[in-house]
Amino acid sequence: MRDQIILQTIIIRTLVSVFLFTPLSGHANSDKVFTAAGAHSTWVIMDKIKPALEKMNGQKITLFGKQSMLGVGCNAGIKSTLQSSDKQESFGMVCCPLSDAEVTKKNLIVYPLALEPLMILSHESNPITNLDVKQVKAIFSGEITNWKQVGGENKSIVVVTRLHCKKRPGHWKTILDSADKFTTKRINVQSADEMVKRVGDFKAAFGHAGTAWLRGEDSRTKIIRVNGFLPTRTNLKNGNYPFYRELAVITNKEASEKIKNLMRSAQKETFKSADLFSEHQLLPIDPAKH
Amino acid sequence: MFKLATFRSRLVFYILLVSVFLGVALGMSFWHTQNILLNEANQQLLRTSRLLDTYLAEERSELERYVGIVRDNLRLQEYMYVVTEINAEREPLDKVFLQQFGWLPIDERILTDMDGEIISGNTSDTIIQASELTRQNDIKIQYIHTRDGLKLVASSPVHYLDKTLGHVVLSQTYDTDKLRELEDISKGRLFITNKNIVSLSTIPSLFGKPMTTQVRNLSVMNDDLILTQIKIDDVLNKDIAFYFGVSEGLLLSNIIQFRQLIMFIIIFGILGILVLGLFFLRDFDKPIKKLLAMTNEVAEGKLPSTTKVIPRNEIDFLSNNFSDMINSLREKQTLISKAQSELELLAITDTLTHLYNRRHLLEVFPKLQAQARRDNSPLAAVIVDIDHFKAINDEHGHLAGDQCLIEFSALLRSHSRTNDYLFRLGGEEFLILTLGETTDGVHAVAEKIRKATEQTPVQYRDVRIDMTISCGICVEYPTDDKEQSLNSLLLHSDNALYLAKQTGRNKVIVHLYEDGEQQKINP
Repeated sequence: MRDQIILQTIIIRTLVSVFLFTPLSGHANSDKVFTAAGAHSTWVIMDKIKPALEKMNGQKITLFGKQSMLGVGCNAGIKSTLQSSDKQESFGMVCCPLSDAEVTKKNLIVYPLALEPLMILSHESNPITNLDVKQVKAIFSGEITNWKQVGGENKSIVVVTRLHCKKRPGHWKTILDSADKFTTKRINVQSADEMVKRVGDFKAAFGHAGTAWLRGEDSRTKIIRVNGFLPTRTNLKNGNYPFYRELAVITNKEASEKIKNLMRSAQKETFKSADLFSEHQLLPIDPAKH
Repeated sequence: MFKLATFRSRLVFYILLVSVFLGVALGMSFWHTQNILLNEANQQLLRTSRLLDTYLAEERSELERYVGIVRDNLRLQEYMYVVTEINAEREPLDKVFLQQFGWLPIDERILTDMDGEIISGNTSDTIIQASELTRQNDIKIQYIHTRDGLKLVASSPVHYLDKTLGHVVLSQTYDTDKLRELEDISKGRLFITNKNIVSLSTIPSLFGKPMTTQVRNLSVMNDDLILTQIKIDDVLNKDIAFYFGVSEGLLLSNIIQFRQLIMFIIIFGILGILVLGLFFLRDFDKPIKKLLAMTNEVAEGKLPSTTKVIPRNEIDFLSNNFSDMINSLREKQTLISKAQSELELLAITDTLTHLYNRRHLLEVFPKLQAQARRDNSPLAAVIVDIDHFKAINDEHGHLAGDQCLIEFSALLRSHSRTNDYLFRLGGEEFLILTLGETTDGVHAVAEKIRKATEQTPVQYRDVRIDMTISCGICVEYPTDDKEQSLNSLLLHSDNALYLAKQTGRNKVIVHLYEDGEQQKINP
């Protein structure tokens, strides 16, 4: 299974590279297609507003990001941006707020779109339904190792993490700000899909994933309330839910005004079309306030 | 007679030579092939043992590969980690282990922790025993003899996050079914020994029997096996050994079958050559003998009757050609005989009148004289002369004269008897010789001829030519002297004719002897 996933990842990355970075002679003009690649959660937003953006800007957009659970994540978004050229303009989709250093070094402009709550997941059979922030952090750090310590069954907690984009702020760092603070007795997965499957496999599992990743009806996971609140955009907006990450699109600073306008349009359209993302519990960011 | 110079003898000799050559060649082939077969059997034994060695090595390699696949599976590593390090339930690990590796073509599989405790997979005693042994020796592949039989066991440590979690152990069982499968492939017998004692075999009686590398032959179930050991150097446990054997009986049965085949070819080959040779000899000999017989007859002046055959070979063509040649000769001989007869007839007959000539008279007279002597009967001679024939020639020409001679000859022939000999002595003079007739009888015949001549004129063109004849008769008993007898007959007849001419012609005169007898007394 793991081999299969790696193989799929290689194929998809190759396809993305081919589509993104091969000059398209047929579109070597201002009417060319914009392409984008990157994180799945941001792809969810862009995919929903794409028709409006294309209508608004009069240009076709091709998005690669649906399979981001396979590893086509933020790094692919940044790479897509850096490879942009006059012949083939592209932008990136990221699921983490980039550090100032990285933005400066790579000469990027970040256009935040929305905040995504991070779900705290356990096996569906786990009787625990709520934990406070401290307990969540203690479990991830390894201070709490048995469910009975939080009122559950006498089972060792199986911590499952996905500590991606370790040098970037935000996301899982809203739980523990450093990977070193996570318990070493854990398993670390490479995608949201694996996260959901691992947590579903072990009755004592404990993990995290963005709300944009729909777990599916057959998933054997459930969402643990934090401080009594579910990871909804309302709770996030009200400041009741503590764990989240920032979704954004990025461009080169030297990118054409056309693509920059497209990014700005994306921000506006995301904010304007908030209802489109209710299922995924994404909280659009007001571009005027950013 | 059997002479080497004849083709028949040579043919017999060649047939015998070919038969002997065939027999010797096949016999030598048989004896040498037997050795070749035995050598080839030994080579085959070595080749097959090497193939089995390769096959077993590939099995070991394959099992090692499977171990590697399990060991390197990240999900399995994670789940082992969760079980061994976090003490989570084993069910997900069992499920993943089964889901991910249930397809592997192996008999047993387990995952153990670092203490050797099985955390997933089959839990039979044998694989526990195997896993302990492999773990303790930290070896990757091994044959282990267990209560359930021989196991091929491969193991490998499983690592996750720089930590060794335990071992994966896979095994395949060698039982009699497995051996039988290998025996079907190798067409021989396979034994496995543990500490030089047969521990696994498809032959129950072999179990427990001692076996060492020095043993090259083994008697099993009334059959001798030629043995060789299969090398398995890449495993630690040297107590286990594989032996491969081929049945000598099977090899010998092949040789016996080959011998029977060769003998069959020798016997029927030679018989075939001899029979064919005899047929050939017969077909060759018979027409040759026939030809020889015919040539002998031809050499003796005979022309044997021949029949032609439908030609199938050179001898048939030769025989037919010879028949054609004899038939041709026969035709030529007939022509020659006819020509000779004609010549002979021409020699003794007168060409104008076709009556015998004087030459034939000299030939035939001795026979008549001899017969008259034997029969004691007289010989009568009548000389006939056409009267005034010169005048006919003068008056009517020689052609008319010839016509008169021709028609008179015909008259003479028609009025004479079958036993009368008619001659033209020359010119217009003819002779009738008759045997055993009385003077009266002869006279009557002469008279009849005279009258017939007188009454039968010759019609030559528009001219009627009347003819008469004069006849002189003499009847005598011939003496032993042929010449004297003929001269006497002709002389006395001629005297009588002269008398007839003198006395007016157209008459018949009988010669009278001195005693006044018309017939000379038998001396």
